[in-house]
Amino acid sequence: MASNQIAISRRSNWLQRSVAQLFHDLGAWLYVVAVVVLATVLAFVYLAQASYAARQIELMVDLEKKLDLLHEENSILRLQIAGHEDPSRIKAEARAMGLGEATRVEYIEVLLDEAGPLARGNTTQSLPGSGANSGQLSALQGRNGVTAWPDVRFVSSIAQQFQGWISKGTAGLGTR
Amino acid sequence: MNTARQDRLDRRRFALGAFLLILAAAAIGRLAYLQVRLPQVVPVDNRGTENFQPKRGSIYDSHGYLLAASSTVYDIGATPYQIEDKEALADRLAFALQEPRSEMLAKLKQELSYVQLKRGVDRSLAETIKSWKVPGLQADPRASRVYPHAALAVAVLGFVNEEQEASHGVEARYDEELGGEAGFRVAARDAMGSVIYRFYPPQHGVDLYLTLDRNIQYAVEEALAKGVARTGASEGLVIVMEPKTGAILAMAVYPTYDPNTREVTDASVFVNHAVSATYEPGSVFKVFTIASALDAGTITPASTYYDAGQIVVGGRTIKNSDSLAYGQTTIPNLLAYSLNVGSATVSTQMGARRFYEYIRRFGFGQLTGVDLAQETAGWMRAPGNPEWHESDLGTNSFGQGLAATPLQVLTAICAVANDGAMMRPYIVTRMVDGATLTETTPRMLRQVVSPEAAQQTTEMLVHAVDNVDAVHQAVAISGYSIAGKSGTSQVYTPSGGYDPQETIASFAGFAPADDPRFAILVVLDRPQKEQWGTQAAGPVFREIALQLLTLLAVPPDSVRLAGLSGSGVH
Repeated sequence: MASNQIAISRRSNWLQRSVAQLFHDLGAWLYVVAVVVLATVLAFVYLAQASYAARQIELMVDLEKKLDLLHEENSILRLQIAGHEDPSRIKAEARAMGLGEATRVEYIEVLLDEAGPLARGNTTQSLPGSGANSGQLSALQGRNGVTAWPDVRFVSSIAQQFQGWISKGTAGLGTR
Repeated sequence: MNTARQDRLDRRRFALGAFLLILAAAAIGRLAYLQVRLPQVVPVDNRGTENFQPKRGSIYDSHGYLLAASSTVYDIGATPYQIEDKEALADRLAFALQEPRSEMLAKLKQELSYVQLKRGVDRSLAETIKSWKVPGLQADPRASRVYPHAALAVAVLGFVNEEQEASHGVEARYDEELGGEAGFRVAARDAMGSVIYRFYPPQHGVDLYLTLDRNIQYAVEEALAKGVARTGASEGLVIVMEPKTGAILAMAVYPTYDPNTREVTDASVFVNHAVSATYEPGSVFKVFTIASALDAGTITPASTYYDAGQIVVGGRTIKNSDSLAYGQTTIPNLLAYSLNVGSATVSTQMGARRFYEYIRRFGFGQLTGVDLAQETAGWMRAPGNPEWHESDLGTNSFGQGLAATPLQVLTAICAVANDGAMMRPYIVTRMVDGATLTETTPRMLRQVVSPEAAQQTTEMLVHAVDNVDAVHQAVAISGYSIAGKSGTSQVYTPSGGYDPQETIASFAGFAPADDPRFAILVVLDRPQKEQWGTQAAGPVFREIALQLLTLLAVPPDSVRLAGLSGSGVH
C-alpha cells in the first residue's frame, strides 16, 4: 500500500517536472512552429498560383481552338460569298433573267439642291430645275427660309426637263 | 547527476531546434527564390518548340470585293499497314472522295508508311472521314490560298503554291506583308525543373486593298479575250490606268490561267507581260516624240514639214509605212496619219541630246516603280552607248529599235493625259493591319513636259481619232472625245532583224480627252486576221472604253461640259 503511494507520487512529480519544463521551453518551440506554418502558407500560395495559371492556360487554349474554328468557318463563308458575287455568275444569271447591256444611256438633269413643296416639313425632295446652287436656293426661299411655291423657274425647269425627254434626249441631254 | 542529464537534454533540444530552424530557413529561402526569381528558360529539346503559322492576309479590290484569301484544307492520307479491312475502306473512300475505288484500293495496298489519298478536301468532308475513326486513316490540315474568281486578275495577283511560296504579282511583291510572322511555343524548364511553355503568338499578315476595280477588270478581260479570238493573236494584254493618280484600274494578260490549280502547259503564262516583258511600241511612241518637240520649242502645232516619202538618218533610209509621200504636212496630220518620215524629221530637228533627254523623262529605260513583282526596265540605246547609232535617232522616234514594257508606255501616255505630270503607277491602295490603316498616296514622279505641250499633243490625238476614217470607225464613241494613237510594230526575231510577216498591234488612248478619267493600252501580239494597230487593237480599246464610261458614270461631253460651264447640269 505504501509502495503504491510512493510510485504514484514519483509519476506525479515527473509529470509536473515535464510540464514545467515544456512550459519553460515553449518559447523556443513556438518560433519553430511559426516558421513551419509560414513555410506551409507560402508553399500553398505558390501551388495555388501555379494551379490557377494552369487552369487559365487550359481555358486560353480552349478559347484559342474555338477562335481558330470560327476563323476557319468565317473564311469559308467569305469565300462562299465571293463565289456568289463572281461577275461571271452574276452575268449568267442576269442573262437568264432576260437582262442585257444597256443599249442607250440617257443623261437627264437632276438638281438635288433646290427645295420644293415636299421639302416643307421634314422631308427633303429633289426637284428638277436649272442652275441649282446655294445662291439660287436662297433666292427661292422667303425671308424666313420658307420656299416660295409655285415658282416660275421651277415650272420652266419642269418644262425644260420634259422637253428633253420628248425630243429623245437631244435637247442638251447627252445620249449615246 | 541531475545536472549532467539536464545538460544533455538541453544540448539535444538546442540541436533539434537549430536543425528545424535551418530546415525552415532553407524552405523559406527556396520559396522566396522561386517566387522572386524569373523562371530560367531551358529548352527541353528540339521537339519542345512548336511553330504557329500566321494567317496570310487577304486581297481585295478597291470596293472591298475579295480577290484572294487563305483557308484551311485537309489532305487525306493513310498508313496502309495499320488498316485492317482495306477493301471496305476503299469502298467508303471512293464514295466520300469521289475517286475510283480501284485507285483507292491500289493506294491502300502499297507497302509504304504513308500514302496520300486526296489533297485539299474541305473541312466537312475531313470531319466525316475523321468520324469513321479508322486507325491509320488521317486528315491533315494545311493552309491553302483560294482565289474565288479563278482567273480574274491573276496577272496582277500572282499565286501562292501548296508550299506557301508566293510567286508573281502582288502575292510575291507583298509576300512579307501578306505572310506575317510565324509564332512559336518553346518548351522550357522553370526553376523547379518543371516543363513550362513560353508562347510567342504569330503576327498575322496584313490585308491588301488594290486599286483594281473588279467589274472593270472583268470587262477588260472579256474584251481582251474576244479581241484575241477575233484577230487570231497569240497573246494580248490590256492596262487601264487613272492618269491623274497612277492607280491601275485593270491589268489583264491573255492567255490566262486559274491560280487555284495552275494547270498550264507553258509556265511562261505565269509571267505578267504588262510589267515583265518588253516590246517595240511602234507608232504610239510618236506621241512622246511630238510632245517632247512641242515642249522643247522645236515645233508648234502650226509647224509644217515636207514629207518626201523617205528620209535618211545616219545612213539609214526611213520610209512611211505605206511608202507614200505626203508633201507639205502639218504636225497634227503627222500624228493622224502616223508618218514615220515626219517623226524622224522632228527628232533629228530636236537633236540627239534633247530627244533622249525627253525620252528618259518619259521614263523609258527605267523602272516605273510599280508595286508589282518582276518589273523590268526595258532597253534603250542612247548617245554614249557603244551600240547607239545615229540612225537610232530616226527609228526610235517612231518606237522602233527600243524595248519598253507596256506599263512604261501607258505611264508615259498618262503623263500626256495629265498635263505633262507623270504619276507613279501603283496597285495597292491601302494596307490594313488590324486597326492600323496605311494608305498609298498618289505620287508625282516628274513634270515631263509643260501642260501646254501636253494639251497640244492631246488635241492632236483627238484630231487623229476624229478625222482619220479608219481610226474613227475603230475607236470613236459618240458623245465623247477620245484621244488615241495606234501602233503597229514589227517583231524582232532572235536571229536578228524583223519578221516580215508578224506585227505587234497596239492602241493607246484616254477619255474624256479634256479631263481624262482613264487611259487604256491594248497590245495584241502577232494578230493574224488584222495586223494593224487601229484595226486589231482599236475595237478592243473602244469596247473597253465604252464599258468604262458606263462603269465610271462619265457623262457625255455635252452634259459634262455644260455642267462645268455652269449652265445647270450637274
